[in-house]
Amino acid sequence: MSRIVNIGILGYTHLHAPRYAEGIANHYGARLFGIADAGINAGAARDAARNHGTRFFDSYEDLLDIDVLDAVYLGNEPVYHREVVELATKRGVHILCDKPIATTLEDADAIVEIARVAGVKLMVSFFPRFQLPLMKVKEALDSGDAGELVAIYAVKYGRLPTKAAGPQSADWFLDPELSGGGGFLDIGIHALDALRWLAGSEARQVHAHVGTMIHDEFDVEDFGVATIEFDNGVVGALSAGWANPDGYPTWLDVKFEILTTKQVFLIDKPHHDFVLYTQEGSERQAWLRRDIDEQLSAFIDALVNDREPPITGQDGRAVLQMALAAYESSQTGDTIRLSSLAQTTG
Amino acid sequence: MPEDQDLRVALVGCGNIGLKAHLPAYARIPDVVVVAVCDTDERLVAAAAELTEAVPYTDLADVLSKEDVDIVDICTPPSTHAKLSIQAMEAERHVLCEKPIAHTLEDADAMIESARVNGVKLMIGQTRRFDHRYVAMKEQIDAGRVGQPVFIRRAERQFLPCPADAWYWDPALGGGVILDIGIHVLDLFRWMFGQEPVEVRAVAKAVHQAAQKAAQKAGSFDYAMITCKFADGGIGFAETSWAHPSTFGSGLYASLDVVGTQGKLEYSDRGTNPMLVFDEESGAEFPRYFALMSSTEHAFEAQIVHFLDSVRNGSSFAVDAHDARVALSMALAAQQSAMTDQVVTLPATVAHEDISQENVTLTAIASSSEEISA
Repeated sequence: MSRIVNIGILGYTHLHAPRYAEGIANHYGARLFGIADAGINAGAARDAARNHGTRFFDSYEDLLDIDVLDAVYLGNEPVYHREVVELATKRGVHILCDKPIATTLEDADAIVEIARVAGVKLMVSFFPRFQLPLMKVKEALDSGDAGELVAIYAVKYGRLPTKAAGPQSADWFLDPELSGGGGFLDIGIHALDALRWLAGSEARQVHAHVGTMIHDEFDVEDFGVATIEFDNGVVGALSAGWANPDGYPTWLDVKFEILTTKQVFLIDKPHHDFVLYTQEGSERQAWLRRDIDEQLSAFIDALVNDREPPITGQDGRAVLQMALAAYESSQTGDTIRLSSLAQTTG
Repeated sequence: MPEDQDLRVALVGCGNIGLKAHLPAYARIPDVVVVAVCDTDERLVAAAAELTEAVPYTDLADVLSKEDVDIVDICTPPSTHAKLSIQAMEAERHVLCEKPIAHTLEDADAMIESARVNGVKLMIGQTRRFDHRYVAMKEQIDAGRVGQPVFIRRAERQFLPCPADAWYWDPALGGGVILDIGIHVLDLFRWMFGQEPVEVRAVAKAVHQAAQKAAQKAGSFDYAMITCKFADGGIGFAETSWAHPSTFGSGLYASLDVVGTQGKLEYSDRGTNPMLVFDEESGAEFPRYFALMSSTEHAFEAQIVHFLDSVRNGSSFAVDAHDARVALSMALAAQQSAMTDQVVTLPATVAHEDISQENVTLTAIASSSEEISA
């Protein structure tokens, strides 16, 4: 494979899609080869393609038909990931799939298997692994400088996705048929991945309360708290959801508070930022945001050097399982043992 | 010297919470005077007597027979709370007692019953409810500024600098972070939600060597995550720890976030501190403003003033012994959940027997860890 990778975008629905479009367009190792969307955000996709000087397609197949296409970023609704993975693997292109990998374990397993059989690389996108503070923590844990990990206490609060600026429609987030979940799944899954990644172990059991707690009128959950015990004894907890009022000074509120036998890490925000004050209020604005670029670099490196991507389909599946266990715990009121969930649902 | 209108207090228990929190508060409040100090440890009671003009005693019975006191303030280990407070109430003295109310619900019930039978006041030091930062946040909630609160996240974290043989680590003496710190947090949840708890789930660990040694006797934890569900669906989530580094410090001790349907409140000791100090040797430090890590001295003062008002005027307490009993039931439920790896439903069926089936006796937890780190 050439050292410059041709990447297309399939689906402009996910709110990360514009960031990926910009990230791919600006990445020295990639070329943005086109954006395809036939759904509610086709208009936004067309505009983005024009702005980035690339082509717009109103069908995924048309973009996939281009011979020199190496890889795709999946930015469509997670409930449709499986069918788009089937299309993409038929053309033999590698896949960077936005989170969650799917909305059911059955689909997640199918996606992993389809990619394996087709011999394409499959990477799932999770931002926190490529954010500078958590990268530092992971380094300290891996080197032994931090001693043994004891516990992680994470927060991920966002504003409502439907209040996002920009041309995309985010209404699908509130449709359980399309989203497979709400605020806890949407935002929390990043942190669930981070917990598992930092713990370096599989989740053993999950206790959670997830529900429509803030916005009574929603058909999807909007908030949740989960406690996760890992096989190696590490305990992780997470509260996540659409908890930020409109006036909150940043889109996402991210905290990680990490206790090891030697150190404590208190992370208040994911990025280096400054504060902008206006007549309307204040905003924290990131001036250094490496996660998209680092993630793309890791994906491109896996393709060019034929390596396993740092976040695999199996990782995506394991994290989805944790989220679904949190849902199950909320419904049953029980603590969910992960192996039992795998047997009943997988 | 006491004057006629002064209320007269005997302080029983001259450990740190008595000397660092209660005595200084009495000294600042007019119309009250500590006339007797009492502790079984002669060294401690001598130190307390030196700080006051009070007469030292080593036996509460002597205080009650010799001193004309209106109030007995109990700052002893929890396993002694019931015996001492009932002794004082039977002698028709009003009682202010440190938290937890007791180490068992039976003892708590006996104390509440004794107050009723003897017609005296009994208040338990659920100090967070008098802490100005939490009072101010509660006012915002009550004013509807964040809508209906649906989720509260609380952390209280420190290092417990006690050797492995200290009673703090000993389950037989009621050690463990859940009863000591958790009881404050769980009461805070109940107060802020204004709802009754229905279910508790805790996951806990013994991290430090001292805790691990004690854990072998079962049930001693120095780190716990506690989730508590309330009747209207509100969820409280707590991280309580004695396992943080000794350098973690009072400037980082606590945080509290309230998520509501219309807004959010955020507090942290780290965020609230207006100043950072740099030192040639120790580097950057958040300076310490208050004698205790977990509460301000103003909180103790407000708590005692509230108690004295009630003694004088017969007014009812904002947080009464029943509230303290509920807090104990929640903490015992959390302890049970952590030990059994099960959800525990409330109102607690957590009788003393349930716990002892696990070969653990939840007995005393002497005055709280907040004093240790003071």
